[in-house]
Amino acid sequence: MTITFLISFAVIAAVIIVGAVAALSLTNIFHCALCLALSLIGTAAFYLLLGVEFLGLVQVLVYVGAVAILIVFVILLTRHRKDPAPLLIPVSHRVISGAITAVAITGTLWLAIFKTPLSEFSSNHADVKQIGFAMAGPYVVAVQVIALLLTAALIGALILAAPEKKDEEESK
Amino acid sequence: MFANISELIEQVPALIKAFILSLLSKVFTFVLPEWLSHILLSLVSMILTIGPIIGIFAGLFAVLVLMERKGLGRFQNRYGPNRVGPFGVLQPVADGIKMLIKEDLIPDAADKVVHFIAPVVIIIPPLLALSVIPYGKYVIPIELDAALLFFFAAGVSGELAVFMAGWASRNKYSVLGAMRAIAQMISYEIPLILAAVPVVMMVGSLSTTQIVAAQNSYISGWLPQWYIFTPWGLVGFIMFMIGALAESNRSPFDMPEAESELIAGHLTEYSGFKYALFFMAEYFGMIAISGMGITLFVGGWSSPLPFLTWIPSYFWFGSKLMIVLSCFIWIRATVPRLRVDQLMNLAWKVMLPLSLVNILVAAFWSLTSRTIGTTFCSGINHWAFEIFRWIFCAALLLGCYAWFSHLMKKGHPTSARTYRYSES
Repeated sequence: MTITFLISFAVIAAVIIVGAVAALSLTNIFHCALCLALSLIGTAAFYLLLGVEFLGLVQVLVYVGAVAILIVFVILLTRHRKDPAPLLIPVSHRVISGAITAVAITGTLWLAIFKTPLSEFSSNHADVKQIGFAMAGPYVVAVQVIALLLTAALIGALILAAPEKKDEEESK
Repeated sequence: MFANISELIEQVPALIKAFILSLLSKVFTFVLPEWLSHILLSLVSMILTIGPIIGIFAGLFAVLVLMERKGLGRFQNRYGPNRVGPFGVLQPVADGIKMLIKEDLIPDAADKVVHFIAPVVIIIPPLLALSVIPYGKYVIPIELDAALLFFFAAGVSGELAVFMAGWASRNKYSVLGAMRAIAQMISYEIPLILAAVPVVMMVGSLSTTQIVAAQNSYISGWLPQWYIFTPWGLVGFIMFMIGALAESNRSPFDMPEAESELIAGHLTEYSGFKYALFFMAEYFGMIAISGMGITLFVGGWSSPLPFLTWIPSYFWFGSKLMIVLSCFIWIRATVPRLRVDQLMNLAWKVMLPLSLVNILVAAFWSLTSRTIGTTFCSGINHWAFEIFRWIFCAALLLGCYAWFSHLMKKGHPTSARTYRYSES
C-alpha cells in the first residue's frame, strides 16, 4: 500500500462520509439529494481506486445517472411546504427505532463481510467478454429475475399512466 | 525515408511532451530532492495532458461559434457578424471580453450556493468525456480499458448540473427548461448507448483505441473497414448522431432552451461568464459526442484510403470532426424545433425499438462473418454473399423502421394543433 493510495483513500472516504452526513442532516431536500449524489460519486471513485473500472463506471451510470435523477424528479413533482413538517413521533421512539435499525444493518453487514472468504483481485480490467460470459453463465438466473422484475415495474408504470389519458379523452 | 518523416510527424505531440518532461527532470535533479521532483514531474505530466485538451477545445469553441454565426447568417440570407476584424473573424474575442466584463446577476430568491456551483459542475463532464477519445495514432489523453463506459458515465453526470442550474434559479422558466432537459436527456441516452452496443459486440472491447484499431484496415486494399459501411453501422451512426443532437440540446432538440417559449430555460437567470461556461459546456459536449461517434463508426483517426496514410492521423480525425460539426450547424439552420410529445415519441417508439433490432442485425452480421471465413473460402462466392447479406440486413432494418413509424402515426394521427387554454 503506497502513500498515494492512502491519501486518495482518505480523501475519497472523507467525500463519501461528508456527503452521506450532509444528505441526512441538511433541511433543504434538494441539497440532500445533491449530497447523496456526491456520496455516490465518492463510492464510484473508491471502486476505481481499487481497480475495478467496470463496477466504478457502472456505479456512476446507474446511481448518478438514474437514481439521483429520479430522486430529483420526485422532489420536483411533489408538493413542498415552507414550514418543516410537525414531528408526530416522540423523540424517544425515534431514537429507539433508529438504534434498532442501525444495529440490524451493521450486524447484517458485519456477518456478510466476515463470513465471505476474501481473496486478492486477479483481473482488474473491464473485459467485456468475461462479463458477458459471467452474466450468461453462472449469473443467468439473477439476470433473468432482475429482467422480470424490471419488466413488471415497467408494465406497472404503464398501467398507472394509461387510464388517465383515456379519461381525459372522454371528458373532451 | 518518406515513411519515416510521416511517422515522425505522427509522433510530434507525444515527442513534445516527452521532450518537456525530460528537460524538466534534468532541471529538477539539480534543484530538488528526488521524491519532490518525482511528484512534480507526475503533476507536470498530468498538466501536459489536461492543458492541451482545454486549450485546443477552447480554441475550437471560438472557431465553432464564429462558424455557426457566420454559417447561420448565410443560411438565413444575411451577413452574420462582420464588424470586428476582417470579415468579422475577431468576433469570438469581442464576445469573450464582453462576457468577462458583464455584470454577474444572481436572483434574490436564488439558491446562491447551488446557483454558483452549477456552471462549474456542468463544464467538467464534457472535459472528462473529451479525455478518452483517441485523436491520433499516438494522441490519446487517457487510455482506459472501459473508455466507452467512462464516456457515457461522464455524459450522464452532466444532467444533474442542468437540473441544479434550473432549480437554483427559482424561476418558472428555468425549472420548466430543466425538467424538459432531464426528460429529453434520459430518453435519448438509451438509444444513444444502445446504438453503440453493436460496435462493442463486434470489437469485443470497451477500449476506444481497440475500437479504432479494429476499423483501421482495408477490404481488398481500398475500401476502409469502417462500421458506417455496414447496414447496422449506418443505422447505428444515424441513431447515435440523432441521440447526440438531443444530448447536446442542439436544434431541432433544443426544447430545454427554446428561446421563443422558455427564454432559454435553465440559462435564463445566468449572465456574464457563468452563461459563457454553460455555452462552452454545450459546445464541448457537442465536440465530445461527435468525436465519439466518429471513433465508433467512422474509423476514428484512420485515413479513408490506404495510400493517404502518410497524412498524420490527427489531421484525419480533425477533418472528420469538422465535417460532423458542420452538419450540426447545417441541421440547426434547416430543421424546425420538435414538440415535446413528438420528441418523446421519436425516442421511445422509434429509436429505442430500432436500436434493439439493430443489435440483433449486428449479431446476425457477426455470425455470418464467421461462416464466411470457414465455408465460403472461394473468392467468387464471397462477394455475392457479402452483397446479399448487406441488402438483407438493410432491408430488415428499413422494414422495421417503416413499421415503427407506421405504428407511431397510427397512435398519433397528425392533425391541426389545438389550443386549449388560449382561446378566449
